[in-house]
Amino acid sequence: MTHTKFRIIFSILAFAVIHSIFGNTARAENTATTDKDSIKISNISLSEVVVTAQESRRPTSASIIDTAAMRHLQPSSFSDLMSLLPGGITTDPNMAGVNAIALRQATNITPADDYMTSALGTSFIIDDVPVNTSSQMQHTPDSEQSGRLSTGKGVDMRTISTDDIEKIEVIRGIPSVEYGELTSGLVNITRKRGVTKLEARFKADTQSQLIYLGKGIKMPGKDWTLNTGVDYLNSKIDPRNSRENFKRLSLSVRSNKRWSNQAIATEWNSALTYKGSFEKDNNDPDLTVNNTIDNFSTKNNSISWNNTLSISSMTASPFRALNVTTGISYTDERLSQKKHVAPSRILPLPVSMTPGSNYVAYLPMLYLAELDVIGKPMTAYAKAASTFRFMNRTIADYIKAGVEWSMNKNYGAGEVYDITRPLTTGNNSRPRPYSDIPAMHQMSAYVENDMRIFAGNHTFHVIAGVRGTSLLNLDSRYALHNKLYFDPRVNATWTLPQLEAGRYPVSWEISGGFGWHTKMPIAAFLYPDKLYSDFEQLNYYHNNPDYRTMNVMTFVEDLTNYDLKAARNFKWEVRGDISYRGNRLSVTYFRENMTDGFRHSGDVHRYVYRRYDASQFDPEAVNRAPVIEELPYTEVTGQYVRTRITNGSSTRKEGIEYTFQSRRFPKSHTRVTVSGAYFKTKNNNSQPLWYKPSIIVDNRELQYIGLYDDTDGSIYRSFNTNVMFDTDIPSLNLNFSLSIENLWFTSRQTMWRDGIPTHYLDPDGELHPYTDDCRNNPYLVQLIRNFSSTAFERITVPTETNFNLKATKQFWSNRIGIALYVNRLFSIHPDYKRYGVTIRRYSSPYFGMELNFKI
Amino acid sequence: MQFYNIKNLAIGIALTSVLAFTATSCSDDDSVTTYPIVLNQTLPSELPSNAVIKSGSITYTELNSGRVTVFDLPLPTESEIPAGTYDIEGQMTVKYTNNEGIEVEKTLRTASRQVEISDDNNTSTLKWFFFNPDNTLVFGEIFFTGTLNAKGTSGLYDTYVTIYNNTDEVQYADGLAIVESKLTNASTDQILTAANDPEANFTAQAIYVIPGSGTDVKIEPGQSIKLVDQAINWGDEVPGALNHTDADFEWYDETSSASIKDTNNPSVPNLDKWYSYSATIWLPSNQCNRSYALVRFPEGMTAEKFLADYVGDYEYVNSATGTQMKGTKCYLIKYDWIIDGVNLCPTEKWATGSLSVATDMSYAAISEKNADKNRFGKKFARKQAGVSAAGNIILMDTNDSASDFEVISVK
Repeated sequence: MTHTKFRIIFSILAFAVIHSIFGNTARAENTATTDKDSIKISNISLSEVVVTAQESRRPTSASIIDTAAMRHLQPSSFSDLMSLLPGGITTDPNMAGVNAIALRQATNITPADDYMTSALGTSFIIDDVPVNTSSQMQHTPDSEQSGRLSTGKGVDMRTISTDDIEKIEVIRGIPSVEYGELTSGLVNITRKRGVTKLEARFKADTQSQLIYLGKGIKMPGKDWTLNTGVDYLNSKIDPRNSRENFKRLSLSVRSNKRWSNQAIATEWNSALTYKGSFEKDNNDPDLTVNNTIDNFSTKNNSISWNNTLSISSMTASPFRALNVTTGISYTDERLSQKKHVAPSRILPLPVSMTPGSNYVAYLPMLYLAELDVIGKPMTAYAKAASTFRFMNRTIADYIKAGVEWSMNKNYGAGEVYDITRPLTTGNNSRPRPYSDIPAMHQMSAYVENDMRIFAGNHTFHVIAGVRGTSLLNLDSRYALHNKLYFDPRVNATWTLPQLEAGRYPVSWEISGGFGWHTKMPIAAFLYPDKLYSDFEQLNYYHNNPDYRTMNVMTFVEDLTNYDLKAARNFKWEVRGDISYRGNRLSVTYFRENMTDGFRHSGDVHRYVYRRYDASQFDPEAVNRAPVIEELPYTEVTGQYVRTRITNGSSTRKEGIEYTFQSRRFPKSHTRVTVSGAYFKTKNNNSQPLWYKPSIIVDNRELQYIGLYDDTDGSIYRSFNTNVMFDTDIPSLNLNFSLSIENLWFTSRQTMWRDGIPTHYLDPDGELHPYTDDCRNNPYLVQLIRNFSSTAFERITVPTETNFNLKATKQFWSNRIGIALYVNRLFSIHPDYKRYGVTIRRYSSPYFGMELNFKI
Repeated sequence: MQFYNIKNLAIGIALTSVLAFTATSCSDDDSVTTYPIVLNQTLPSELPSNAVIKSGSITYTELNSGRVTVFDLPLPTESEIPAGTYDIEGQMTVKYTNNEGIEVEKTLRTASRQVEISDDNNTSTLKWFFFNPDNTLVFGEIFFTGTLNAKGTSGLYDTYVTIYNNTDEVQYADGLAIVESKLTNASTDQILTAANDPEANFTAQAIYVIPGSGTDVKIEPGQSIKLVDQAINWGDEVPGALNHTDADFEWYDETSSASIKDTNNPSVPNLDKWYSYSATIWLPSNQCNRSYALVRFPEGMTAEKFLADYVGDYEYVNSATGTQMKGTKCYLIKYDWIIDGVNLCPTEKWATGSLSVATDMSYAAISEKNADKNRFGKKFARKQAGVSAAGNIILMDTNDSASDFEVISVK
């Protein structure tokens, strides 16, 4: 494609381009860097309805989801949209737990806290401002409820409503260096702007009801619009149980004002957003024996104000654009639990906040525990980004550069509870205000060269850039102090000369890229809670309550890992793309390697305390309980494995993603979309592992600890193909689709381990190599961990197929619309055998419907 | 009948059965196929060859229908049984003249579980053993469910077990161990390692030993000692719970890990802890689905020696997944050392006993249903068999827990 030709198309599609220039900033940037892309998209058809995700035309792999796709999908939250990505499958909403994102990951992985860095490292950007979860600290010791809290897991997608969204770009590949704080990918959300009719949506499905109202209004004066939207979701986890639910309320006011003259177009976007999410899970006291209660609730109220000022040049000067973005957000998070706790035995209750010897009391046999966790994360964000262009006959070169600063701090009071009445018995933490944690500041800068070279019939598009990031305001003991991370990233596309087949052109593209991605640890990782350990020195539970006493040695340990580093992911991918007569096939092969994801890993700690002997003490004689000062003692050393956060998780991802989209066949008005992926995900511990068998041998807990270098991990694989037939009949205002989701297989395989330690620590804390002789020692033999030979076999779940039906119909010149969907209307889940045992699978349909108004 | 004949019983029956089988192949009433009974029997090697059967019977219980068929011993040649899955139990009295020329009578027992009688197999393998209950010290009461806690959701750990002197002489409990089985009786896993077969060894996961030098822990005839988890007056804490301040021993678990879970009563001595699977506290199975044994270790056995010499790794086939697994470690108890044993399991979960059938032919059930909430506050108590000449109550110990124990309220 020559420069001349490029210009001609430019003028033909002037409308599209001007729209882009005057559109929101994201579009302006698109235009600035990808004029040609806009043209290509326009080439297909401007009025075409696409109800699936479209593969982006940018040099990296990305899926674009627009309002038509969302309208067709009828989502309740952002989570539902994930089924549109290659490899995605439709799942029922799960509003009773965090919905963390899992890009390019095998579908059968049960989320585990030690492998959440991929989710944490997926950046969500809403109208240019990243969602900052670094000061998220909410926590509960109650394991039944902790799955509802997103600390360390990134953005909880169930809290994001979809109704105000105009467009979503999910970058699965290598994002531009303009975006940081990510390892796995980027979700770039653009909300609706401009004058619209009053839109209303009422949705109901098996679990939930959703109401949305939104309108774009023209404001007085020129080029000023105001969009407002309000959205409410009420979701019952089990429709029969009104005591457990999740509610979400979103409200936003977004202003867009533009000025322009011959030389400069200026656009100012300002958005004020309120987001509330409310969750509750209460038991029914009438169903318990003694009317005991167990109540859990979270109330999160967040307000944010984002502003973007964009100045774009209307002339041919090298300066193209300057965008200044600011964002500020504040969230008030309250978790409260009230629960009757009834220990089944008399439990000593150490409550000391200070190290040393302490006398302790006992927990009552029934009490009401109350826990409030108050988090008040505040984030601030500012970014200045500029674009310059240099052009000649063969080269169009854009240079982007920018700086970014972000700050987060939690002003919350943290866990507030009476330590004499803890929510869980055996509590070894103590309240600490989150506000004690210093603010985290992060500074980044990037420069990127986006160059197109037009060489005859070939076009090369190379985007290469580097981003530098550093955490500020860190104590000098941290390895991250003054540490600068550089993320070089390169993406390139080679557009081959068009061929002609049957009088129609065939377009070919080959793309590829590689890059490093860095995610800094969050506040909860850098500033962990202190660990309180209490070891019994005297246990004297006399029959006479007056003579009872218990003494412990309290150790207070700082579990901060000053060596903690950022998690880094290296990705590369190659992609082939072929288009012919409106049909397009895109295939991507990728690999990702992150060896320093965040996890909890064990460390050996030694404790020295005393064991007092009260056997000779006669309380009757002195009419009081013994005190430790008068008792003989022996010194005891114990060594235990304690966990703290490290960079010990490795996640390797590999796979092939493919999307084929046919053109809409004119007679049947039907388009076929085939998409899917083969994913292989390997999650394992990348560091040697300490393990201490939890057994008692000869009156004492085993004091030998083994060090193992075999990795603890699993390999997951999945392969799927979704085939969607969607029919759009404009004359009937009817759109319906049948999608057939084939999950060909999923498999899981535990990585091989021999279970034999390489070294062991003896009770004196000395490290010795573990030799064959050790197997004859009655204590050391306990360190051998047994795994059966079959434990490492690959376990495969064979194919399953689901048929989903969706339909939308508009009436009255599109003023009223109705829509419905049934997921798994039919499903085929053949029984299969595993080791001779027949496994049956069941599935039931999930359905919903909605009513839309546009007035 | 001479014992010689008994030894040929199997062959004889087998031969006649084969003939019978060819002649009648299957009976025609109700079109239920019946098969001739073929017994493959083993007798204890100690039994002299001059022994004769005095009386006896074999009981076939069909597990699906519950149908019970009893055959007198010696088995008539034409005995037949319908196809099905059977539990087989048998008892016989044999007479023989011992080396001193005195005529003695001995009782033999046998039990075989889940025997399939079908086209493929109509042979029942029966291993006879001497029924010779050691009635010196026995488990008197076992209370592992606990009194209902203050919230009404689970049991407290006011659990205990008593050891009863079932003789008319003073007995000493020093060195006696209470042992919990590694295997649950609800497990249908198939043990592959021969040493861990319940018939070969008792596999232990917790071993607590009564301290003493031999004559320190005296139990008078007809009396018992009480071993408890926490020796406290639970009634002070939760109304209706038990008072254990009078316990003879408590199993005190010094939890040297950070969260302390036990109390130590200075007036109640602690059991010696030789081994436990748990680093914190030993909680006997609250669902009552394991087995327990009273063990008298051989002279000179120490914790260290036992742990070094009697460790047993084992492999098994997980019944749920069918995968072959390596079990975690356990310790092996010889049956010679066991003076009393009991299998516990809720009826609906019963699969197989962790104890050999000679030690306990059956099991005692706390409830029909598994994890039945009504089990809290109930204990196993050995039934009374009678009164001895010296006037002491004799507790029933026939090595058949289903009939030896009753489940009653702990109060």
